[in-house]
Amino acid sequence: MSPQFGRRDFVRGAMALGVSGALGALMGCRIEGNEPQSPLIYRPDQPVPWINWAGNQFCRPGHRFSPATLDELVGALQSAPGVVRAVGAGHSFSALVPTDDTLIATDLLSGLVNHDAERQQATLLAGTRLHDVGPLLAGVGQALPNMPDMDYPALAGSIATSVHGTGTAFGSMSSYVSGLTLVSAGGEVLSCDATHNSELFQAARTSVGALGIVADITLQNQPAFQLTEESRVEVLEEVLEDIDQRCTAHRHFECFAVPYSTLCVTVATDLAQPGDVSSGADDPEAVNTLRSLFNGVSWLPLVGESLYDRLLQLAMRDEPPVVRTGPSYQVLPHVRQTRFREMEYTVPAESGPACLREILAAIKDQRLPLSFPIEYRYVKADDTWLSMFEGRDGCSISVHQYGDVDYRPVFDVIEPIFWQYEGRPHWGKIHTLTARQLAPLYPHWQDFQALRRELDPRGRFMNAHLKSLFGEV
Amino acid sequence: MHRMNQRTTPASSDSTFHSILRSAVGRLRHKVRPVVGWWVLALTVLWPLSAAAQPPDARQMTLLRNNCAQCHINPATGAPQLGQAGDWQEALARGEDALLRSVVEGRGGMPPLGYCSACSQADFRVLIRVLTQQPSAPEGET
Repeated sequence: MSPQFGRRDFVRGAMALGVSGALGALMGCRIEGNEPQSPLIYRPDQPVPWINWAGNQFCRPGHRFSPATLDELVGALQSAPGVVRAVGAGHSFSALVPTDDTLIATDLLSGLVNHDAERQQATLLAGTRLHDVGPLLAGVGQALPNMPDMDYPALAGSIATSVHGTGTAFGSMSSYVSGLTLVSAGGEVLSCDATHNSELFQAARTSVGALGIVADITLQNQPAFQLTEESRVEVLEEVLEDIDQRCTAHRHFECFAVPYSTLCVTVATDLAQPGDVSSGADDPEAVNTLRSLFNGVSWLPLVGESLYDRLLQLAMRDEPPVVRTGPSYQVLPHVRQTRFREMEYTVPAESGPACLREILAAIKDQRLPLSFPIEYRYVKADDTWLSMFEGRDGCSISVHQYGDVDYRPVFDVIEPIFWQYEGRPHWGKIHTLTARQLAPLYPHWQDFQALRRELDPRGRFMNAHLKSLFGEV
Repeated sequence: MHRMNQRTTPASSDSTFHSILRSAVGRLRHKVRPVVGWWVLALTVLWPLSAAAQPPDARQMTLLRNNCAQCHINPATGAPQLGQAGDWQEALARGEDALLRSVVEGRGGMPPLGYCSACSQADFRVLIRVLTQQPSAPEGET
């Protein structure tokens, strides 16, 4: 979610045609920002609430623990009253975390435990943030084969929800787990890998925190490496027509489709070559610039949308590519400056282009107020029971709305399109599915349910959202 | 991200202490295996050089490293930077309670809680003072 546009040229182009954002005061298909930034008001000396990154989830837990060791985590689980949930960086948009009873923060469960140079494996504590994972692994000559496009989440949260990057040869974060240690609802310490407690291993690598609280994770890495990323503006249809070749030609490939425009931004990333140098600048504010331009012209009767596309063509079409090169853990993630809400579904890889086209057509046909680029990525199949990529290569399509805008009018229209393509929702992002719709999407759904009930017979990890997901309402 | 205010003074306004601290922290984050013990050592050695702020304990240093540092010791994010007094002028003018509220609720690019779900109000106050280089609270206050 970090397309690079030539922002200054972009604004200059818009201004030259006299269509500054001031025109957006008129009504039309513009993006109104009325949602408060925070879901609640905090006053000093009150108990500190918990609020997620996006500001759409919050709770006021009665009990809080911050264990720094496995023993402390066991002790916390043994003494925790009521519904227990764990939290890392709080980057999920869905209601995985909220509980009014006990919240266990994993901030202090961080760091490198050990590493195996021969097998290229490393064990890290579960609360280690992804932005620390890269440097920690680099310190022992290792690197994750792939990473998400932002590095704010905690390792355990990334595993719990199958967070992913892009690349047809690369699975989600869960697929790099070669073993983990989990503390069950009763305080029992369980370890698992592909050969030991293998059923737990298949379930715990994407468990939305329903099986226990993960204490440490062993990652299968590779020797540290350098990447070069190149972002450029292209015509979306030309990219989609050539998508198989693009994905084959590059180690990682993704694109950002711009609603109401024929353009997209492609991001191709490959192993760095001698002489690669960075050029141009990542512009994390680009999505706000896009919004201003959209608000400035989209209200115009009959010509608003075509003018918007024309302005984008003028401002972006001849932009030189932005190149970033360096260690993999510095190139793959991007900075976030804009708060947003996100819905993402993964459809079968071969359905990706058709699904994206249908979404873009629906936005245009129904004049949905959405200018935020739609992210389009590929992820390799895996065998984790509740992974969105279980048993099939996936195309993940992410729809974002600005954080100060009600996302529902847009998401309500787009979500059913994903259902037509057998889409599986990202566990950490916004969706409306419950157990009834989720069960048919996952061949091992009942296996997971049986294991969950065995490990947590009293439903201690079942907050309202998980009860809905697993049909315990 | 985290544009609570724009940088208004050049890097030369950086205090020697915070330059050293920031440099050390930056090296630890990106070059050295960032183990908690290194942070504690760095602060133990460097903090006495500063008369500005109450030293955080080891737990609070871990919270700072895992959460605050990713933006406030990373100029690319646009966030006010540790030791850059000018970065914090606008925020400090609003008072510590207002700053605390901004941290908890989130403000601009600053996410709610600054990603720190383990932080208590007392933790937030100490970390705010560390980042903004403000004097410690009077005896008996958090």
